[in-house]
Formats: sequence, structure tokens, C-alpha cells
Amino acid sequence: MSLASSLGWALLRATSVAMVVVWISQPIASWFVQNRSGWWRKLAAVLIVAPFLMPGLVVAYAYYNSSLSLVHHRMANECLYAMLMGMMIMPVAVGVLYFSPRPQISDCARHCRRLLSADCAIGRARITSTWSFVIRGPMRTKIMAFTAVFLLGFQEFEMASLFGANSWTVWLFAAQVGGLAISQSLLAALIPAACEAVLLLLGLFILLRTRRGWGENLDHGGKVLNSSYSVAVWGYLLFSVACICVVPATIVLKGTLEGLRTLVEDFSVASEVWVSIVFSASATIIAVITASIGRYSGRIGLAATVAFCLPGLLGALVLSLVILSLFQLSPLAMLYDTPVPLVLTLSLLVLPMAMLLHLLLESVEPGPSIHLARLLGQSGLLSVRRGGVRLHWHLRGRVRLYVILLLFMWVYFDVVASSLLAPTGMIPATARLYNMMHYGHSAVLSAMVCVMVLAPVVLALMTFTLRAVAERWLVRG
Amino acid sequence: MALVFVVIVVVVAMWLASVRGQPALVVYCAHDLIYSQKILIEFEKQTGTRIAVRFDTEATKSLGLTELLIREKNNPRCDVFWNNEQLGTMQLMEHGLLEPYKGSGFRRIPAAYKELDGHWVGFAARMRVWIINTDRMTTNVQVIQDILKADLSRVAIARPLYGTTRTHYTVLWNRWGSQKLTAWHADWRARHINEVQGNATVKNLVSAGICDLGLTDSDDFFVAKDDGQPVTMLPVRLEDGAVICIPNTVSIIKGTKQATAARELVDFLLSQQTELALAHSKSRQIPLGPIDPQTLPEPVRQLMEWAATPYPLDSLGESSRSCLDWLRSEYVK
Repeated sequence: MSLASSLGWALLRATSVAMVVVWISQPIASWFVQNRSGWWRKLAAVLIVAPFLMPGLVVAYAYYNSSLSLVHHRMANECLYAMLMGMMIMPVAVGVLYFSPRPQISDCARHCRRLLSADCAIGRARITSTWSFVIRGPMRTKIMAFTAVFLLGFQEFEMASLFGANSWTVWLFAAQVGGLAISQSLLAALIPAACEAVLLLLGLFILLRTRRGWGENLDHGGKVLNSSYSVAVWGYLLFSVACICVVPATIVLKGTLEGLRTLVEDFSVASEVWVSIVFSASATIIAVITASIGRYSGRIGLAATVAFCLPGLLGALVLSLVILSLFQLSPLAMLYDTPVPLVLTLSLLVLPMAMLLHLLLESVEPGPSIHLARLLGQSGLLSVRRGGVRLHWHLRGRVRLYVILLLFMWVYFDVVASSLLAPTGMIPATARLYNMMHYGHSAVLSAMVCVMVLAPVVLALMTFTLRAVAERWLVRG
Repeated sequence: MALVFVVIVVVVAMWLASVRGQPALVVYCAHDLIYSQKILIEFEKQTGTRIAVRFDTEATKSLGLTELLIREKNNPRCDVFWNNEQLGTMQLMEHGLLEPYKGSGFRRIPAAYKELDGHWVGFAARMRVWIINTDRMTTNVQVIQDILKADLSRVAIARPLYGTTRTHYTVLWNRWGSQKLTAWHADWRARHINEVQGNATVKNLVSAGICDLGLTDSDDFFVAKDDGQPVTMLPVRLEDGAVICIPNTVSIIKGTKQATAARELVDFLLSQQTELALAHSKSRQIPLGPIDPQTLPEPVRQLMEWAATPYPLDSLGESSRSCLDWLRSEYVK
């Protein structure tokens, strides 16, 4: 298939998926708004977030055989891919709708405008006022949710590749590693990047126009959900977790039990997992520090940080091609086959997420309480100091650590940048396992996938343990 | 701030732990990791020479690394190229990127499988084969030919731009001429042949019974057979009975700064020990140098009988270029 048709398919798929996802995510977000307490709310929150945390590579591996069986039914294969992708990205749309501030225009105002504009001729004034109502009314959050979902779906590579789906990312990746000159690859990436840029600019424009209040007062369109909606929401949550988390986990674990012995005899994947951890940790730290510096260094610093976020929003493939071309120019060529290009790319990739989460946390964190806890932590009395440190951890530190671990996982499972930019002899585990997944399911490969997924989990547990030890040491000191 | 400092120190320590002492011998390896890694680890153990390997992407087998070596020609990073086919290596020689070397390994391999000045040497070959699902059809050359005359929706082939399928197409281009090949390709597509990402996918489709028949390599067939799948194989034969036997090739990249270690590795890969190891591995590769057949597994002996009439791949120079140009115009547009 040509680049043009691959791009067309990707646009059609991303648009369709984004429209369906935004439509389905509204009652889910409304349910969360209307159910503010109770253990079932926490359970629902876990269920909605879980599919987003599941690595696309693992889901693609799990459904590889299913996709293969649809080789004679291309449309069915495309639908399967779109459905799985939609379920994985749904939490993003729910998050955007949930955290969005209330529209600046009330339902009454919108109704009045509708009545008045019925008699007005279509002209510049009417178009301007319509646009104003769109970006300030309930459509605003839907547009932002659509933008986020579209971008994630449009840039997706791992599942498209293993499913054999038609996508510009698969076409361009194969063309680039297959020998297309970097200049031609960049040229080919221009149109997809332009499509993304248009939507990004729209999203940024609306974001900047949004009144402060993200996370404070939630937009749910004024509709009160009845019990049948609740049943539908729960049904969807359970179905998506089953498809995206339970089924892949079952397939991988079943293979792990059979392949573990062989894996232990040849545990070379351990070095690649180590390399993945090192690259991901470096990129995460750089992104977190950059986001913090940007936030607290005034308007110019913030603007610069936002500008640094834009390349990452274009996706791993476009960004990797740009970085690859930069490091083939003479001043930077000496760093070409070193870890620098990959660390830089991964940092830029995760920076937008780091910035977004940083801003979101700031808007929901109880600032005065945190300040008081910090003051308590500097007390001369050991018991007060201990209490202050623990309070500070519960109010701020714990969530920040979750965010850092989330960012780490996000970049850990990257395939595109790792495949294009990893230096010789330092191939991350994801790149290796992605290659091996083209051979289909095997017990040893399932065991390797399990090791790859569990490694950051073990790292997270070690981090929490070290934190507890550090807390004791800091309190005593 | 203290925590941030501690984290940075830990990450720097992790980096230092990742970067080990002396510079490594850089090997670009297009052969499947699961077979080649053991050989390279054994070389490291025997010689103490550290190796840094770059493997190919499965979807762009061998073409990816060949093109990367051409792109890096002004500043080569690779010392030794282990390719899983021959055409790409020949292309590198035409670009003047290979260093000749005639060591013990070179002397061991027959003339038909090496470049006589020592720019590259072939070893441990694989064969193009039909993989057949025995639950779905009988293993019979006539049956295959009948299927190929009808609807091909239950036949699979890897995309011919990469790897051994590219070699297969180049052989046909050389034998039939461009017009006949392009017409044949268009005809197969019109009759709904399933073009998939790689030979491994062909193997998976036929093993699962989703397709009945496919073109793949002998090592992919053995993977399916070892998994207990209902498959068998027959060699792909041209009209004159010649088979397509594709050797792995090894070459030293011009400009290497580790010539001694590179030569050691080349001789190691071309040794009887390595060919025997690859023959006994799951890939069942065909040794090209002298080896007592009694030391070989029975499937490899069968392959060696079939390989008695190989198509001469060293005659494919010009066809390789023109066929690749045509394939690029078909698939990279």
C-alpha cells in the first residue's frame, strides 16, 4: 500500500475512533462526577485507568494470532485493531472530560443564542459568534478530548505493525529502516505531521483560552444519569479491562509458566531490560526536572518549556526521524551512535505528559496544607518532624512518585525511538521483543514479555521501599 | 533537592555500569537473533573479545542493515557484517565497502560460495521451500502447481522487498526477465495472494491452517515442525530443477579499527565448529564447507541432497540492482 492510502486509512481510523471514544466517554465521566465517594468509585477509577497503563506491545502480542486468523478478512482485522486501540485510549478522553472546568457559557445562554441566531443571516458576525460559543461552551472539552484521542490513535505504531494494519507509521517505519534516505523520510513525514500540527494548534488555542479551574468544578453537561447508564458504564469498564488487561495477561502468563525454564538457562534478555531501565530513568528524570524548571521560571521559562513539548506531541516516529537527521549533521555526527540521541528523544517524548501532569497536580493539590506540612517537617521536635514528613508524603510526595513512575512506564515501553536510535550493543528490551513478536507466540517469548513488564514493577516496589528508608533517615537527621 | 541529587547519582552509576571497559567489536547481524546470538556469545567466551551487536528489524530483514552500512560509509561504525543472504553483501562490495580477507575460513569454503578475492564468504545456507499444511492438502508437486494456477487466497508469501524473498524474486528476474516477472507478480496479486510481513508470518499462517501453502525458508519450516505443527516442506525448484540455496555471508567492513578481532570472528564464523553448531541448531542450516555428513542431523542431510543443484547466486549482480529498483517502485511509494 502506498503512503497516501496508508495515511488516508490512518486518518479515517483515528477520526472514527476519536468520535466514538468521545461519545462513549461522556457518560463515564459524568458517572465519576456524580459518584464522588464510595469504594466503588475507587474501583471504577482503577478499571478506567488500567487499559491505558497496559503496554500496547503486550496487547498486540496477545492478539497477534487473532489478527493472523483475520488475514482473509481485512476489514474485520482493522475493526479489531480500532476497537482495541479505542479501549486503550478511552481513559484519556474520560480524564480530559472529567478534569475540564465548567464551560464559560451556561446552557441557558446557549439556548438564548440558538433562538436569536435563527433569524440572523449567515455572515462574518454569525460565524464569529458561533466559533466563540464553540470554544467556550461544552463543545470545548469534547474538542480537546477528540484532539488527545486522535493524536494518540493517529501516532500508534506497535499494534498497527503486529496487526498488519494500514497505517502511515508502519509504512514510514519500514521505509526508513529499509533504507529510505532520511531526507525522503522527513518529506514523507511532513503531511502526517501537518495533520497533527493542525489539531495540536486547535487544542492549544482552546487550552490557552480556557479559564483557570482545571479539576475544580467538573463539566458533565447537566445530565443526571439514571441506573441504566450506570449499568452500561460498569459493563463497559469490565469489558475493556477484560479485553485489554485480563486476556493479554492470561496469554502471557500461560506462556511464561511453560517458557520460564528455558528463559532461565539463557537469560540474555536481562541485559536488554537493564538497558531499557537506564534509558527510561534518564529520560524521565530529564523530563521531570525540565517540567519543574519550566513551571517555576516565569513566563519566558514556561513558554520555552511549552515549546519544547511540541516535538513530543507529534509522536515518536516523527520526532525520531528529526533527531536522527540532526545527529547525522556534522557538528552532532560524533554523537550519532551514542546513547545521547535516544535519551534526548525519549525525554522530549515524555515531556508533554510530564508538563501536563505537573500542571494538573498543582491545580488539585491542597497548597496551604502542603506548605504547613513542610513547615512541620522542619520542626525541632522529632515527633512533630516525623509527622510533618509523613503528612507531606501523603499530600504531595506519594502522588508525585506515582506520576514519575507513570512517566517512566510510558517511555519504558517505547518501541519506535528505541528501534531507530538505540546505539549498537545497547538495544532496549522493547525493540528486541518487538522484533521477536513477528515470529508469533512462543512460551519463551511470553516469558520474556513477562520479565520485561515485571521489571519496572519490581523497580517501583524497590523505589517505595527506598523512600521509606530515606524518610526515616531524613526524619532522624 | 537531596532526593533529586541521589536519583541523579544513581542514574549516572547505572550508565557507568552499562558501559563496559574496552571498545567492542561491532557486528551488524541480519541473521535471526535466536540462532546468531549463541554463536557470538561462544566467540566472546573463546576469545575474550567483547562484541556489540546490532540486529536487523524483522520487518525489513537484511535490506535494513545493508542500507545502513551504505549510509554510514563515510564514517563506518561496523567492523563485521553477518548477513543472512548474499545479494546485500554483493551490493556492499560494489560500493567498495568491504575489506578483503582470505583466512582459514575462506580457504575452507568452496569457490561457488565466496568472492574469490575474499571480500565476502558464504556459510551455513538455508533453502527456499514450500511450506505445506498437511491437514489441508497433500504434499505433491503436481498439487502445488494446480493450486498456483487457480485462486491464491490460501497461499502466502512474504513481501519481496526484503530478505530471502527478495533473493527469490531476483533469481526469477534473472531467469525470466523483468517483463515476465512483473507480469507474474501482478497476476499473483490479482488472484489474491496473501502478502505478509515476513517468512515467519507465512509459517504461522500455514501452520495455523489459515493458509494451505506458502513460500518461506527452511529454518522457518523447522520452527513450525519442532512446535508439532502439521506441516511439511518441498524445495522450490526452477524449471531446470535448480533450487534456491541462500548462504549466510560474512564480510569485514572497510575502515575497521579492529582488523585482528574482525578476522578472528570471520574465521570463527566460517569454521567447521560454527557450521556444525548452526546445522544442529533449530535452524538446521546447510554447511557449505567440508563436514562429515554422519555428524549432521538427518533433516540437514536431506537438505544437502536437495542443494546439490543450486542456482548460481553470484550471477545476480545486475539483476539484483534492477529488481530492487522495481521492488522499491512497487512497495515504497
